[in-house]
Amino acid sequence: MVFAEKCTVFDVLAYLCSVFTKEEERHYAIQWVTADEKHVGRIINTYRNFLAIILNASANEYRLDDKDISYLNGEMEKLEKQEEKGDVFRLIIEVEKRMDMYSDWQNRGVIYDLQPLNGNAGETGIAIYPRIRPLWDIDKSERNRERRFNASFTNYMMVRTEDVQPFEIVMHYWNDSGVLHPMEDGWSLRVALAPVMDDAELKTEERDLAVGYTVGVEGLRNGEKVTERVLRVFDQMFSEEYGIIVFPEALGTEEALSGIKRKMREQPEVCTFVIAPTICADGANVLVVLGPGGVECLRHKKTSPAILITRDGRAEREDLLFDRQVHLLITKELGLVAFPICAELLDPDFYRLIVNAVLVDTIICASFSPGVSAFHDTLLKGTAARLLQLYINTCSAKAVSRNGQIALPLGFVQIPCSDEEFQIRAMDWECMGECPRGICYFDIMIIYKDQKFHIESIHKKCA
Amino acid sequence: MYKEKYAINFFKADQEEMRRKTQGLSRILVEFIVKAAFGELEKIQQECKQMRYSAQGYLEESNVPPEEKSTLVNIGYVNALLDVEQMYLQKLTIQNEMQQIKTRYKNAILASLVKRGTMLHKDLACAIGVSVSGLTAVIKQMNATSVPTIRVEEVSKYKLYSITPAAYQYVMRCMPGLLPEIETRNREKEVYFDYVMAARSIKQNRKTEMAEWGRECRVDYVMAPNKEGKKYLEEQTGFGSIVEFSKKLA
Repeated sequence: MVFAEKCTVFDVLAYLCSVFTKEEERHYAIQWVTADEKHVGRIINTYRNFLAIILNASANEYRLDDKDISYLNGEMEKLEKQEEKGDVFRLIIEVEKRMDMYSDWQNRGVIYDLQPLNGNAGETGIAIYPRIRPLWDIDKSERNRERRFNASFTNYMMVRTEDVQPFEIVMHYWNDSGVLHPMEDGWSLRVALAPVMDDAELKTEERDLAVGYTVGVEGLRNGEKVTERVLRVFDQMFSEEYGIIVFPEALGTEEALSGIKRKMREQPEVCTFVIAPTICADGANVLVVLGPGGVECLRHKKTSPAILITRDGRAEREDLLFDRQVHLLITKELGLVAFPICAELLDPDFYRLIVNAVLVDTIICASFSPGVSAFHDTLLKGTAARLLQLYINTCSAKAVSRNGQIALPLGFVQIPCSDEEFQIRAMDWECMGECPRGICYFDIMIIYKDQKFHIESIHKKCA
Repeated sequence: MYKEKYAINFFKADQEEMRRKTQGLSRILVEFIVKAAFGELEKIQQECKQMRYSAQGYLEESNVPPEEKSTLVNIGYVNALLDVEQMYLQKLTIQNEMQQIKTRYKNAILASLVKRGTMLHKDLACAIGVSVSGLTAVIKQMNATSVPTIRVEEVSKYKLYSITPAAYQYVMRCMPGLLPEIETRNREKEVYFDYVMAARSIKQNRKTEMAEWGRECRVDYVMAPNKEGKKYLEEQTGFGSIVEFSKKLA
């Protein structure tokens, strides 16, 4: 007996998916692209009762009763005897089509952690998560050409445990909307990217460990000054009600985080997401994402250490307490959002995880880096998958640069369009090397109208 | 009639049970409110009012300071209200959007898809009595809502249509006459498929007569005949509507 008492449609979907190896999944996906009419019709007829049960369960929170389960178990026995899995492949797609958008959000609050929806993730090695498409055109996305179940799935995605390793996914769900401002035939999004300042000093310690040179970052030398500047910039940005505010890596302190939260709690009506400056302490580098009202959406610990080349040409590794957990946020407007911290974006394993295995739609990267060209190249990779990507560096990273210069440009906004000219917008530096010492951030307006993107940016600064 | 027990004893229930029951209760309450099912609402009120005593007793026992207790109670109260409001709005949106669909083929399409699950373009066109090229515009009208009712999938050069769960739930709630018997839990007898088969054999017998009407209609779709077919059936059998016809056949 495959399905036990109290199993759900999600368990059925996960089990069916687990019947296929990755090779078989690809094989049958290719086969089905050219399926003929008779074949499609035959499968729909063969499994009409099976599919009727799934559709019926949609009105019952996808729970299956004893009668349903015994029927499905009978069908599974028949399926197991079949050598040809082509029909099962189509059945899986038909099952998913009969599952409505995720709606199990009652009594959980507005932002909460989300476990895989199927209870048999351990046994099957398949986790089912909700998938909400972003509010822009993804018809030409390369993802639609993938030879996988996910290319045909609409409201859910299946994630194989083997694809996630060596990481672990932690999903968070935001049960609301409001970051995008609706307008006729489209929407607009206001984003603020803040390089903050050019004289934040990292408190570092060189550690000669068993293998190689490492440098540990234990906060900031001029923490008070940085906190004051972060809060000043934040106050200004928050008063302008941006949809997303992004700070760079390593300029965070617990005081700055509390100050940001305090301010946001005073005005819960402002729908702003803040990617707070990451806090380096106790061997970890932690990014906190705050939602409207200062609610903590997630805390993501950096998983990939940076490798820096010192002025004398020696390679130094960031001494980091590794974490396997990758935190992602499901939203109704921007799709699935990932928040890589600096070097994580450049780590191919991490990038494959977020873009290929879990299909993120938006990437927001905070960085503290002496160079940006690698980031530029990585961001370009997202064009084919129609990703929206934001990247911000800080001028303070010049301290770790071999030439002592600020890496330019300071930020990028990559929008999901095919026009090369507009694909990636670099944030132009207008202060000519003299830090404004007051407020400094990039004001970006992304407009999506009639399925076309338009982007405007201004460098806002004042002494 | 609902079967589940939603009452919670806060002194006994574990977290998982509490969440499951409160989620279920809010859902079913909204369902009954949307349907204005007074009898059911009264029954559930009777069953669940004991929870108020259990909740109040639990709060009395708790060591949380009184002001904080009061804030926590209000947080729970507001969250529940907003959850219920969100669910109610969703239901109304679907209902409202479905009613906005202007095409006169709406019911025929829904009926065909509810019964057949997934259909090919030409089969659906035949079932509802429109030309193959005309169906695309009809489907566009059906999906010109914020809540899609028909899922369109392209396999090879064929288009496949299926009803979305949201539309299906609308049919369950507002047009139960369209539902096949399988949905009423009479699965062993497979009444629905039996009557499709019965209809098919009747149709086979009348095939010659139907041909005289000059329209080609696939034998499988006698449950949703075209306009002329409908007129013919009414004259011949005296059945008033497709639904009645289906019922009598069943």
